Amino acid sequence: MKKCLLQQCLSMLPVLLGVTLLTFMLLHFSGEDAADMLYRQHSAVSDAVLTQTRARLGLDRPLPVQYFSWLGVLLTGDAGTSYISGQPVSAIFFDRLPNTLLLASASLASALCLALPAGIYCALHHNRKADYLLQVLSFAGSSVPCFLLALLLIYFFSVRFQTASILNHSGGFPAFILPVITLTIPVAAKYTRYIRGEVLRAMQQPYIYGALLRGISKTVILRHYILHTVSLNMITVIAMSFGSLLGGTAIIENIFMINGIGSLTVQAILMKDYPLLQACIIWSTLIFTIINTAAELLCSLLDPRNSFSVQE
Amino acid sequence: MASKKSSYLFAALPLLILLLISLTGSFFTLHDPYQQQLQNALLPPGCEYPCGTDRYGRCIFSRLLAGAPVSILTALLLTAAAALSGTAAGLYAGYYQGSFFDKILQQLTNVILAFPGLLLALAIAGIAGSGMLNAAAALLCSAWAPYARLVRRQTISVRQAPYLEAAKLSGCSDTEILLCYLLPIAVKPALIMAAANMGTMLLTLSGLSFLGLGAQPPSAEWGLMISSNRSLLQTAPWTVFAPGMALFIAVCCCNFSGNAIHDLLEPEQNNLMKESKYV
Amino acid sequence: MYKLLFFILTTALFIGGCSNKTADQKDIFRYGTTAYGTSMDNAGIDPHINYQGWSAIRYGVGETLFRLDTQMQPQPWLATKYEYLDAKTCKITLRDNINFSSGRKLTAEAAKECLEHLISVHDRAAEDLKISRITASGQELIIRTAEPLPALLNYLCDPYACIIDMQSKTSDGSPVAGTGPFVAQRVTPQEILLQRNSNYWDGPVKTASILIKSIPDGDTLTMALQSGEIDAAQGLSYASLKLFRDNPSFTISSTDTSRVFQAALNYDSPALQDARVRAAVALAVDREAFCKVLLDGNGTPASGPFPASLPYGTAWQPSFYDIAAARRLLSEAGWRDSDNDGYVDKDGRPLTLRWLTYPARQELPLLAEAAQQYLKNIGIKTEVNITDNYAAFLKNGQWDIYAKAFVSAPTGEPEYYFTTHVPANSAYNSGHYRNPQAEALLQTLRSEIQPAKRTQLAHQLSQLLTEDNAYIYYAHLKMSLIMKNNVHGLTAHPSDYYEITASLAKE
Repeated sequence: MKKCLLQQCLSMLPVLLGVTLLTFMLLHFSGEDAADMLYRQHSAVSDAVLTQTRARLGLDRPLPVQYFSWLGVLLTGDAGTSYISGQPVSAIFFDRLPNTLLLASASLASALCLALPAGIYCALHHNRKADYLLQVLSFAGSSVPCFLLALLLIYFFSVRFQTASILNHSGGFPAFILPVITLTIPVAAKYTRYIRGEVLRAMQQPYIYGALLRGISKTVILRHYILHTVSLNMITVIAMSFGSLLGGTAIIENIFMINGIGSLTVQAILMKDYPLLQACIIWSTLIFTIINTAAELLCSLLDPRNSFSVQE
Repeated sequence: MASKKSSYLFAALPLLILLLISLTGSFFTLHDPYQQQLQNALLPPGCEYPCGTDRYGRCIFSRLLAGAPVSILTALLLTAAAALSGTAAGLYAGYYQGSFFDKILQQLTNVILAFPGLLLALAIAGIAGSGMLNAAAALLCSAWAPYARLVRRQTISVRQAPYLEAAKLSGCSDTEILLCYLLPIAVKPALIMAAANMGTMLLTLSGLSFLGLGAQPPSAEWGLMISSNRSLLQTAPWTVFAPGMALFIAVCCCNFSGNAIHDLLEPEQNNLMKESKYV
Repeated sequence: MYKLLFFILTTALFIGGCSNKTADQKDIFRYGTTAYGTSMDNAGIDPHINYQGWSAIRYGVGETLFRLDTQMQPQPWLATKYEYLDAKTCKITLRDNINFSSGRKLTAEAAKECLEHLISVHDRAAEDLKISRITASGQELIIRTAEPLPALLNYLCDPYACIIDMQSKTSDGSPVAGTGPFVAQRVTPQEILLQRNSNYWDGPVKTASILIKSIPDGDTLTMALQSGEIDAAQGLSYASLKLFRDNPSFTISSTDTSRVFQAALNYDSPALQDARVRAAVALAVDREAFCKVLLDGNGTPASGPFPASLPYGTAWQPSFYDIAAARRLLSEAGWRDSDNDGYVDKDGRPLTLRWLTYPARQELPLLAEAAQQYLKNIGIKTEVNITDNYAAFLKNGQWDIYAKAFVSAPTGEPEYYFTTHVPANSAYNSGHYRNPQAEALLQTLRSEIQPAKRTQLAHQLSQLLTEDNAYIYYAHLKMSLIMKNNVHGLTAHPSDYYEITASLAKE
């Protein structure tokens, strides 16, 4: 098992290296370098000063040298300071991370709580009225634009009925309620469809027929056989969704004024604060990769059929 | 049950209607969608203006029609482009498994898929600068990877099949085998995936515009229309709901066709969730 | 079992949502504003840094020696009287009954320390005040300037001149101690927590504590006010004002200010060096329609930097909108639509202008999009660039027209606007406008003491700027404070920076 763990961790390395390279190249080709940035807020400077600054910052060296020296500094945990606020970017990122993590995990948890019973119910009442109704609902849920949903929710719950808070006073969970609902609906809709399909598929497996023929009760089959298979598959899906929530809540965070990493990334992009953008990309990708790897490990742990030797 | 042909037609119908609207919609505009007439600002929906006017006095209905190609056609073309490039790359890499190209491609897909969600597309769009073309290019940069991975896997799984060996022995060239034998097999999962992703692509594109990274004013892109009319949600709700509903219906059509195509082509399979990037 | 789980979860979610409101403290006054934050350079309350003085004075922490009345004339505030000993020397007598919130008495010596520190660290203040020596004895402060400075009292009203206790000002970043009705407890770029100053010199302070909250998004601010999460708001978008206008549970206090929407034209771009093109650009926009429709009546069309309500202001002239004249000027300048694409061109190149603006003022993007249409009407193509990062574009010269909002007479006198906009290298002359005649007039204005003459000079200067079309003026804006109907003592002031006072109260 230890060997597997090590192997899995090692396989992360080239990917992460690739990520840093891609990020570095991306920002290198943005056309503005750190010397331009340093003087951006001030009045015009002469080219001589710019050249001097470039030499001081090492920007005149060959690209590979620059990359590896940047990587070296990055490995010490220092991702630079923001052009705008002058604070260390990693500090800004980790200051904002809890909000996004809370948002993402709360949405995922509530989506699961909705989708699991709904999906199983649909599968068990396959092609009946309730199934159709839930299918239509989940179809609509997965098609609604999240920004429209967010605006509607704010309008009805905060303005019309005044039940939910708009301002994120304390940063606690209650203020997160509307953004969590907004994110939950599309995810839950997709999960419902997925779980319904998975359960239906599992129910057609020969071993389920076998179990039925042996006289094992439906509840037991559902709880022990089908649910087990489904949840195994769900682990990877959840890890995937977590990633898209990590990198895709920008719109929701923007609308609900949550200080998370999604809005931070967009802010860094709009202000062309490239060190901050770099930190956002690299840290979120690292977190996502770790989560994915953990999910794969978990799957293999739970499923004896999965062995580490089967790899692409 | 109806014949297979008609059920395919039925599946594709909403999509075809969408295409028709986005291709011919600009012929049915009632007013110039970009002409501002401040004296007609914020008129509620009525006979003259079926969806009302925005704060510049522009006819929202006409703007929706004018914006349809921007929103829908771009999303569909983008999906097609991603599927095509991903399939081509995956097919080639899968057939020459272990080659230099294959190794590079595998690393690249792994790296691209390592970025969570929209992050890579956001960053590229941001650095390239705002604009619909840049946003589309940025999305393409990250959207082809899942197709490449899927098709490569599919190709590898059938590469050693006896009938391919037979084709080889009978003197078929590599190109013939790739195009005549492998492509049809590899295309199916890619097609299913593309069908399932159309709606998401539409949402993602308009989301970028909503954030200000996609289409720029005075474009009639739907996401942009929603975001620029946000502050009128209470005083002139039609300015937000009209483009919102249009987008919702368009995504519904895409998803309906996507699901139907999926059910027709692969009634058994349910594993697309794992492959799709923007779940 | 799952049904149960589902039920529990949804109930929990809803209870969570509802219970939040009860957790709010009742006795705290919540004030939401779009005008406070890092991007406005005023996140903090130390008047000696950037524009933080605006925050200090807005939120009742700091006070200045003189205060502008509603006619924008300086009246003694921390001072009781003043006297010009000669053209360069002014004797100011301070009130004798004032203590800083740190406990120290406000003496002439304390004011001297503060002002001396101000001019040593604050560029704008040093340039405005031109102080050569300050002497203090008892409550008498004698300020000597390097040259005759008729606008001294006005400059002493500027928020940077808030008198703070320099002895209690430490380097650890704890809030400064002023003389105002409120004392800052906690200051972050997102919010300021204020407590009543129980030893306030000018009567009792009616509210115990205030939370100033920065809400940069106008829609969120609107809805927070509607849902009752804040008691009063500043900076609502004009479009949402009508939600509160006919609503009996809210009161609105509005006033005209000297905040002007203006566009600087870039004298470095070849097309705009032609005076006729600049004039055409200026004539193309229907400012009356813009004010009526897009500002929803919350602005008046402008034909100069100052509103007509000020003695040196310019009255609106409808002739400033003339499409036919604009078209004629363009064709005189050689720009004609030779390829019938709707846009004028010269030597095969179309006339394309880059319009730069920023989104923090919610109506600037509206002006940009409207102007795009108006300029199209006369055949000019406009590329609109709305970005928070406008400073970089300004610096790199990647713009032709830069529209911004600017308070043209923050201290009630005209010199400041011209000082910052006319000289070739002045702070806000982003278009590198040069006119020796205007600079000479400005020199005269700087040393002119007679009020009537000053007004006349300001008139001449405004006219010169408008004739040159160095800047195009679109609208003067109204400022509105919206509050629940149980809030009293909150009044909008034409200066734009007196907001929270001792009389603020919530029943």
